[in-house]
Parts: sequence; structure tokens; C-alpha cells
Amino acid sequence: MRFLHISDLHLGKTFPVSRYGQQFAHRRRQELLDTFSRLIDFANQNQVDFILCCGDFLNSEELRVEELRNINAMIERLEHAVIVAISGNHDPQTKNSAYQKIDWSKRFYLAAPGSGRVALSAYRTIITYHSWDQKEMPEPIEIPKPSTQSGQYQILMLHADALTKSRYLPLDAQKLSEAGFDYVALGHIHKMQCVAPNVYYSGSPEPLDFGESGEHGFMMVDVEGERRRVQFVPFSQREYRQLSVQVGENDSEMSISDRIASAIIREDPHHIYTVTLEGNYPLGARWNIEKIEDDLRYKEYFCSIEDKTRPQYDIDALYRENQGNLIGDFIGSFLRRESGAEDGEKLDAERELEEKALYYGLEALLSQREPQSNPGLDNKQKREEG
Amino acid sequence: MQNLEIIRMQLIGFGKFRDRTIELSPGLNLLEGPNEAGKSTIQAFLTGMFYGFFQPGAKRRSYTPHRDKYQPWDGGSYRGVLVCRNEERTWRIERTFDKDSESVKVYDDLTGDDLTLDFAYNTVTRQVQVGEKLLGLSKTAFNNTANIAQMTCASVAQESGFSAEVSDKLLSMMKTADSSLSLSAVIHQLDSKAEQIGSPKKSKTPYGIESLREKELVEELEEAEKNEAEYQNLCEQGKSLSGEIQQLEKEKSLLEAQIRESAAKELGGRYLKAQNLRVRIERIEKEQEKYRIYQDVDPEIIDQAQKRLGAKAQITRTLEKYRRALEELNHRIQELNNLYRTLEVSGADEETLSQFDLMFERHKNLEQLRDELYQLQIKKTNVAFHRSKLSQMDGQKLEEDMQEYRRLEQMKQEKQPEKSNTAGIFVLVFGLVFVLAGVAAALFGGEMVPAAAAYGAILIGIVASATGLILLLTLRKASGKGRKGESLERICQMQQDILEDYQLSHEVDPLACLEEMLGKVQINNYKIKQFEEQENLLLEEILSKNQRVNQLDAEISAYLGRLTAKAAPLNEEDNVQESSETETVSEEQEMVWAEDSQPEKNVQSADEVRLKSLRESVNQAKRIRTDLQRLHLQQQQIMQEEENCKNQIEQINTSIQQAVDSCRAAGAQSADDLEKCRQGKRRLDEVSVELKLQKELLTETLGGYSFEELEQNVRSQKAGESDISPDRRETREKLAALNEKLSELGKQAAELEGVRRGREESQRPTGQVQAELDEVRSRCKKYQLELDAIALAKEKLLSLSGQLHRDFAPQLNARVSKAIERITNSRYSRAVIDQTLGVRLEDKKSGKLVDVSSLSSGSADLIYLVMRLELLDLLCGENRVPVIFDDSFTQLDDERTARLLSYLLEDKQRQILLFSCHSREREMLSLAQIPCHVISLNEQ
Repeated sequence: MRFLHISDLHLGKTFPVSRYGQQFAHRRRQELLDTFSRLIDFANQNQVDFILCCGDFLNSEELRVEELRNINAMIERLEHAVIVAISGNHDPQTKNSAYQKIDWSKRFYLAAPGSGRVALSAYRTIITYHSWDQKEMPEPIEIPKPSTQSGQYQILMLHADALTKSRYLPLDAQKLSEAGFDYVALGHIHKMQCVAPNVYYSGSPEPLDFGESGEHGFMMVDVEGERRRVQFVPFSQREYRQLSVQVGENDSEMSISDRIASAIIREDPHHIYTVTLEGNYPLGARWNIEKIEDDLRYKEYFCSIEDKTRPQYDIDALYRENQGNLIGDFIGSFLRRESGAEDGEKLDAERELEEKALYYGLEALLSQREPQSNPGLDNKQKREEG
Repeated sequence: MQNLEIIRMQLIGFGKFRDRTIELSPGLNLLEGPNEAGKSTIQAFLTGMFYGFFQPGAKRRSYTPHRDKYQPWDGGSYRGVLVCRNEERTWRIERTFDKDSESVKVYDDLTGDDLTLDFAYNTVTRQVQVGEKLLGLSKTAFNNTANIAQMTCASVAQESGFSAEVSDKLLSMMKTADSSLSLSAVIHQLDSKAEQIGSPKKSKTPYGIESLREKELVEELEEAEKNEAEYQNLCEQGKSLSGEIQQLEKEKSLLEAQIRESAAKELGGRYLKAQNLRVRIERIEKEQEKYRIYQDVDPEIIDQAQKRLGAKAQITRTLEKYRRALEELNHRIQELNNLYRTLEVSGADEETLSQFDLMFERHKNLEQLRDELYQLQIKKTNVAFHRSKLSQMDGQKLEEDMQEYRRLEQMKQEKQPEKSNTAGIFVLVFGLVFVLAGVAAALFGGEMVPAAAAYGAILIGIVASATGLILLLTLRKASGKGRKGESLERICQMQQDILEDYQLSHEVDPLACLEEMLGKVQINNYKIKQFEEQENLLLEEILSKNQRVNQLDAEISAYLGRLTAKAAPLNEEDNVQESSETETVSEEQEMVWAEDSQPEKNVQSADEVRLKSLRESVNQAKRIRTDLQRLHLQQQQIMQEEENCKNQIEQINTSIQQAVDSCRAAGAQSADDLEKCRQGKRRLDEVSVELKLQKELLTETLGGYSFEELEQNVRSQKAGESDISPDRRETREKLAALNEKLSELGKQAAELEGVRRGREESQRPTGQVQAELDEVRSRCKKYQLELDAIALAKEKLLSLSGQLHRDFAPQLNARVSKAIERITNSRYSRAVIDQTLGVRLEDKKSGKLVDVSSLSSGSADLIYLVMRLELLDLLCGENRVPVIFDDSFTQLDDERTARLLSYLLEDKQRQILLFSCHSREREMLSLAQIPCHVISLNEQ
């Protein structure tokens, strides 16, 4: 018996234009469908008996009937395998669900909302599942128990968060592992991982956001009697990769674009990159990141730029030098706040705000100041420059 | 406590000054000079020496206009030295303003140590900052406080914008002595940054655009969500419809099966009918097979061929007509040819014939010539005749005879005279007369006297002459015998003989006669000569004419020869006959000519006759030729027509042959078979139509089955006779209703699909809208964060400055209040300076706060001046810096100036530089006994 464990295809997902550009956002959306089509071919070519899809098969609200029909037509191409799918937070079986909009192929079995079981008697397999009917499930559910029928291969299918305590059915991986199933197939987390013995996330066949670096694909499980082989099949068309590019105050938008482009070429231009800009930006002249991104997209490089550059000055040095004047007072007012630390996310947000405020204020203050000295540089350096 | 005072200014090269040194003393220095003396130049020199001429706040080294303004007038080195002193040491500032060698150096004036490196270095100006350190003031602060130029104090207050700027600079200075920080500019910068981001309300700013988009998206999402249910409903309707349709399709196929079964019931009757039909069809098919050969016949072609056949007949008839006409023509031509051939001139060619008239004319000429010739010959004959007549008498002999006679006479006389013979002479004379008369008649009266008569007269004359002569001779003989008896006799005889010779007798005086005769003979001889000449002339003429005649004759005869030559004789007999005829004619003519004594004339006549006779023939020949030509032309035309007809017939034959060929499959061999083919084809068509009809009937009768199936059905039906018989009509109706419903549902489904598609096109799926909304919202959030950060920075700065003001205001207020109370002679006891540097004064009497702007401009000036000085003190703290007044007291009256000066000089340690163009200040100072160092700028 051979089955595939897939999840989080997110067919129909709309990619944000601001991060992908009009053209590539559209292309990427199409690529998800292409990958599914390839998956069907893979199943046909590799004598797969059934495919388990652990939720988020569709981005239910982003698909038109025509597209649903296309997807259905792809499923119809399956020669042997059937798909057993549960719904997840992106395709819950609500009143307006996409699953209701067309008649689905007989090869596509969508588990009804809630917990249940389906038996694949031909393969002596019983699948226990929980299928979603709402967009969020903040409360954990009682972990279903395997069927009492003996001599069956017991599979549990869930769309759940076994890593963090989120609003998307948080469950304890260990408990899942101990629930008595031969294989626990999970969906929701896009990165393939084995969170506990027998408990697997297949990850999404295609990475879906800039954070999702690394290989993507699905699990292929072969069961022969007592022997079992679980393997990960990398399948994505593209990977999201991380790049960091050092920039300096002398860089222009054009030179940054060129530097990123050459960095991407060194890696592999086929993939999608998150480029982190590091270093200092020149005083009062921050680069237009969107322009750089547009330029790169125009050159057919797909990347999103994360600007982590900082203003070129050294706050501490500035503070020291300006003790007792307005600038010093200004910096001091922020430093004082910071010392009165609070906790959690709020602090982060506030810190970000304050940091920005500090930089804005300093930028304005320093640009007004008669250029008598270069803050953050010591006197010696000044002399040398002179 | 640091007290800086300027000791010496050395203007080595600055503006109008060259190597000018101005020594200053502590305390009050009054620099006097009229306009243009260089007061402002010295003031600028001071600023320049301390700070240089750099644009404050610039990011790159750039200069104020002063730098160019105070270039040395003589073009020499642009530099100066300023020596000043504080408690620490005496500073010597050396500054070169030249662009190439711009530099500043600071030395200890006493020790000469280079102190430059003790000063802060400015990376923009690339110089050490001298003024900042020595004065403890930035350039701006110095210019705003210590350096009080003409009229500036009042204008500070009047220009509120500037005052605000000054105020925040001053505020900043209060703590930092760094006036370069303009709080309002900082705030302004932050504001403009915020403006760049915009706000949700400003629809054209980035934030505004995003926020507008957010609103739109929210609306779209709401709309989409609202319609989602409806849309879902549409989808479900579609689904249920298609389910219903499937169900109906099933029912339909069931019903159709039923109908087919029930239809089998009628099969028996239909089977029989079908059988009959099949028999008929077979028969028709056989017939059709028979006529199959005519399948490819095209009646159209046959029609055309038959039409052509008709045309061919007509053309053949025409052709026959032509042939007959041609025959006729040929016949006529033959006739004419024959006729022509009968003509003597048949052998002549056209040219010869055409020459005929000319020849004829020549012939006439010839005839005339001949006549003339003939006349000439006659004339010649006559002449010859006359001559011959005349020549019979020999004059010589006559003379000798006469001599002889005379001698004889003489001898006779001598013997006996003898008797004369007069009768003989008479007759002779008579005869001669006649002869003469005849000759005359023949010669001259040719036409008047008949030839016969002339000839008769001549004849008579001759006869008479002859008789006379004989008489004479006989007489003479008689006389001669009788001459002298022998002698005489003989003499007489001899005389007689002589007379006889001349036919004279003795009767007439023979001598006289002889003499006469001799005379006559002599005349005759002359005449003969003349005749001979005449004859010769005539002969010549005759010869020439004869030649001409002969020539013409030859021409004519040649022509005739040509004319009558036989060319290609067709009929031998005719020719022979003709020639023999001609021969006869010529023989006849010859005979005639033979009879005639004048053969030449006869020959000529024969030619004439011949020409005349030919003339007719020639004319006829010409006519015939013309006719023949015409006929030949006709013949040619007809032949042409005939040829055309033949060609047409040929064409028609070809096309008919084609038609026949096309029908060859139908057995057509010739044109005669075409009609048969056409009829065959017609029959085939009829049969085919009938066959089709019968087959249709059969198909209808069979009702969807093949005959064999029908047969089988019938048989099987017969086997299971008890087949259920549902009401067929009812079932059919049901089916029809079902179909109707199906098509109705199909239509509905299509409509639904259309509506759904329309909906999809007009509205994106909610998820897509939501995704974009999230994106826009995150951008909005980002913008908001930026705005918040800016606001926070602004807030902090403002609160800090407010705090500064709060820290600082009471001090300033107290100091300014004190000074003002003094200067206004306690009219105003208290001054309140707000954050924008607006000053209000408390009227001591009324206790009301009065705004400075409501005071006189002189008072306002004074108050601002005081405020500046107090600010300066505050800014410099313990330090004292020189204060420069440039005609600053012009607005003040003497009393106030005096008060101000005493206020200024109260602080003994402050150095004051007072520039003035009036003597007023000096007078006032001396009046108030205030010591001062007066420097006249007019010196040197």
C-alpha cells in the first residue's frame, strides 16, 4: 500500500501584489495549480493508492466556479488513486464553501465536518479525521480514538497546530503520538516536519510566503505488512530563500538593485528571495525600497526586500555628546522610557514606534544643526578627515 | 568668569582697507565716521575674523555674499589679524579669506604658540571654529545678540515668523549656546515628513490613497459578502438544476424505450406496406438500372447539339446555293472565255488591247500619208510623162536639120526654088496644139477637167501631130525628088526627108516651121529640166513618206501581229478556222490589189480593213475582260463564303461530335442518337424521383428499423402476442412534455450559468478582496506607524522645548523686567516673555499687561534691545563678550539713549563697540561724562 500525505495546497491563493508585483502574483497563483496537476501525474505514475489531504486544499473564498471545475478536471485525471480530504481553516465547510459550488469527482472524498471515520477496505485502512466547519478553532478538541477494528492500518488526519497555542486547533503533539494510530497526518503548518513519533506535517507542496524557506513537497508512505517507509518528496517549483545584502550610505537605489541581482544570480534566479538589507542608510535620504523591488521584478528576479538598515548615527555616542542640550534631552527622553520596561508584544510595538520616533526626531534635529561635527565619529577621525 | 575684549584689529586687506590697524580699549569704544567711512566693513571684519564667511547650516562648504563683498579693493591679499584677550591669554587670530589659501590660525600673541589645534574642527568648513570657542556663541547667536546692526532690533519683533525662529533658536541657546538648532524648523521638517505620508483624509497622499482603497475594498467585501449567499444560491440552483436535468434525461430515455416498444405494435401493417414498397422499389430500381447508362447524359449538351444540327442544315443549304451560284459563274466565265477566244485579239494582252486606239489613230495617219504619197506619185508620173513627151524632139538634130534644110534650100534656090507644103504644117500645128492643151489640162486642171478628156485631147493632139508630120514628110519627099533633076531633085528629096522627119511639108514654109519648132524644142527642153527637178523633189518626198509609211506600216503590222498572236489557244479548231478566214480575206484583198494598177494603195486598204475589223473585236475583248474580272471577283467572294460555311460546319461537327462523345457511355454513336439519349435521361430522372419517393415512404414505414429488424420484430411479436400495449399517444405526450421541460430546464441552467458568470465577472471572490484588503490595511498600518512615530517625536520635542522655556522664562523675565524698569524709569515694572518671544509689559499704574507691539516703535526697539542683551548675558553666563552697536540708537531720543548707555556701561567689564555717523553720541557721552575711546575712521 502506498499513499501520499499532502496538505495546505491553498489552491487559489491570492498573492499580495505589493510584495510580488502584479505579474508574478498572478503567476505564482497559477503555479500552485500547476503543482497540483503535477501531483496528479505523480500519483498516476507511482502506483499511489490514495492521497490524504489534511486541510487547506483550497483557498475557498478566492476561487471562482470555473477554477473549481478546472481543479475537479485535474482530479478526474487520477487513474487509480482517490483523494481523501478534510477541510481546514482556509476551506471550512460552511454554507458558502467552495465545495458546495460544484459537483465533485467521485475520486475526491471530502470528509464531512466534525470527527468521523472512513474505511478503505481494499487497503485494510481506517482513517479517523476531524474536518473543519469554521475559520478558527481556538479550543483543542478531544483527540479521536482509533477504530477498535483490528488488523487495520489506522490513520489520523487533522488540520491542527501542534507547535504553538494558536487559534487554529492547538493540540499536543505528544498526545497525538500516543493516541494509538499508525500514522498521524497533520496539516496547517507549511513546513514539513515530524513533530513526534508517527506524527508528521507534510508541509505545503509549494511554499506560500516569503518566510517559508527550505524544501517543500509531501510525504510518501509505503506500508507492507509490518514494515513502513515514510519519505519526503520535495516537489515545489520554487523555494523561498533568504539573502542578506550589505549596503552603505554611498549606495544608490540602482547600485543596491544591481547588488541584489548579482546575489540572486549567484544563488539561483529561479527561486524567490527575501532580501534583507543591512547596514546604514544615509542621513535624511532613505532609499525607496519599492522602487528597488520593481526594478528587480522588471528584471525577472522575484524577491521581497526587508529593509533593516539603520540611520548612520550611533545613538549612544550622540547621547553622550549632547548631554544637556535639546538633542541629548530628546534622546534621553526615549532612553528613560525604555528603561521602564513593560512586557510582551505591546512593548515590541511601542519600541518599534519609539525607535522610529527617535530616528525621525534625530534626523530632523541633526539636519537642522549646523554641521560642526559628525556625531558618532570621534575627534581624532575628524582631524584625519580634515 | 571669562571676559573677552578685542585689543586690536589689523585689516591687512579687507574691503577698502589696506594695512589699517585699529586699536581698541576696554570699555566703550566710539568708532565715528560718516557714511562710507567703513563702519559696516569693520563690523563684517569682526564677524569674519571670528567665524569666517561660511553659510551656516550648509552641508557643504559655501559662503555668504559678504565674502565677495569685502574682497580688497586693491586686489591684494585678503586677510586680517584680530588680537583679543581674556583672562586666560591673549589670542591672535590670523585669517586668510582668499579662496586658494583660505586658512585660520590662532596663536598666543605673547608666546607665539600655535593654539589652532585646541579649537574644534568643522568638517564642512574644514577649519577650526574660533568664534564658537572664544565667544561661546554660534555665529547666528552672535549675530542675533552681540552684534546689533542698524534697525534690526525692531524688525525682529515686527517679523513674527522670524521672531519665532529667533525665539526657538534663543530657547535652544539658553541651554546649549547653540542657536543652530531651530526647533520650529525641526518641527516643520517632521511635519513635512508627515505630510509626505499624508493622512487618510488627504486622498492624494500615499496614505490617503491606501486608505481610500481600504474603504473601497471594505465596501467591495461587504457587497461580496452580502451577495455571497445569493451567489451560493445560484451555484446550488445550478447544481440542483443539473441534477433535475439528469433525472429527466433518465426518464426520457425510459419513455423513449417504451415508445419504441409500443411502436412495434404497428409493425405488422407496416411490414406489409414495406414489403409492397420494397417490391415496387425493386422494379423501379431495375428500370433505373436499365436507364443507368443515361446517368451521365447532360440534356443541356444535347439541346445545344440539336440546335447546332439545325444550324448546320441551314448552313448546308446556303452552301448549296453558293455552289450553284459558283457553277453558274464558272459557266459564264467559260462562255466569256470562249467568246474571248473566238476573238482575233484573244491572244493580246491587256496592254496591247489598251494600245489599240492609239494604233488606230496611227493607222489613220498612215492612210492619209498614203493618200499623199499616191498624189505625189501621180504628180510624178504626170511630170515624167510630160517630160518624156517633151524629150522626143531633139533640138540638136532639129538645128542640124534646119541647117541642112537651109543649105539645101540655098542650093535649090540656086537651082530652082521649090514649092512648100503648107497643108502638112497645118495639121502638125493643129496636133501640137491639142497635145499642149491636153498636157496643160492634165497638169493644171486635174480636178476641173476630167482625166479622160485630158487624156483624149492629148491623144487627139498626138494623132494630129503625127498626121501633120507625115504630110510634111511626104511633101518634102516629093519636092526633094524633084530637085534639080538629079541635083535638084536630090536636093528637093533631101529637103523632103528633112521635112518628113519633122512631118512638115513644103506647103508651109518649112524653115519657119523648123525654126518655130526649134524654138519650141528649146522651150520644151527648159520645161523638161523643170519637170525633172520637180520629179526629183517629188521623188524625195515620196521616198520620205514612203519611209514613214513603211515605218507605220511596220508598227501596225507588228502591233497587229501582237494583237492577233495566239496565246494559250484553248480551241485549236477555232484558231484554224479563224486563220483560214483571215487568209481568205487577204487572198481576196490580194486579188483585188492585183487587178488594181496601183498595188500599193490596195495593200494599205487591207490593213485598214483589218484594223477596223479588229477594232470591234478589241472593244469586245475589253468588255469581256471587264466582265470576267467582275465575275472572278464574285467567284472569289462566293468561294470565301463557301469556305466560311465549311468552317462553320466543321465547328458544328466538332461540337456535335463532342456532344456525341459525352453521350458515348449512353451508347450514342452519332448525332442521330442524341435524341434517344435525351429521352433516356429524362426517363432516368423520372424513375429516380419515383425511387426516392418510394424509399422515403419505405423509411417512414420502417420507422427507424431496418427491414430485417422489422421483419424480425414482426416475427418475434407474433411469437409473444401478449405484449403490453401502453397507450402510445399518452406516452408520446409524456415524452413531449418531458422534452419541453428539459429544454426549459436547460434554458434555465444556461441563464443561471450566465448570471453566475456575470456575477463572477463583476465581483471578485471574497477571499481575493479580503487578501487585498489585508494587504492594504497592513500598508495603512505601516503609514500610521510612521505618522505615529513622527507625532511622538514632535510631541517629545515640543514638550522638551516647553520645559526649557519653563526653566528659563522666569530668569529671563526677571532680568528683562529689571532692565526695563530702569530704562523706562519705572514706568513698566514687569516684563513677561512668552514662548514665541512675544514681550508684554505690565503698566505700573494700571497693572495691565501691555503688548510691546502697542508701544511706540522707539520703545519697542529699546525693549527688544534690552532683551537681546539680557539674553546674551544669559547665554554667555559668566562670560562677557564685546557688544557691537551699529547706529542702533537712531530711533531713540537723547534721554533714552543716555539711559541705555548708562545701563550698558553699568557692567564695567563689557567692551562696547559703538559705530556712529553722528556726533550726537559723542556729545551725549561727554555731557554725561562717560569716558570713551573715540576712534575716528577718517583718520589716516
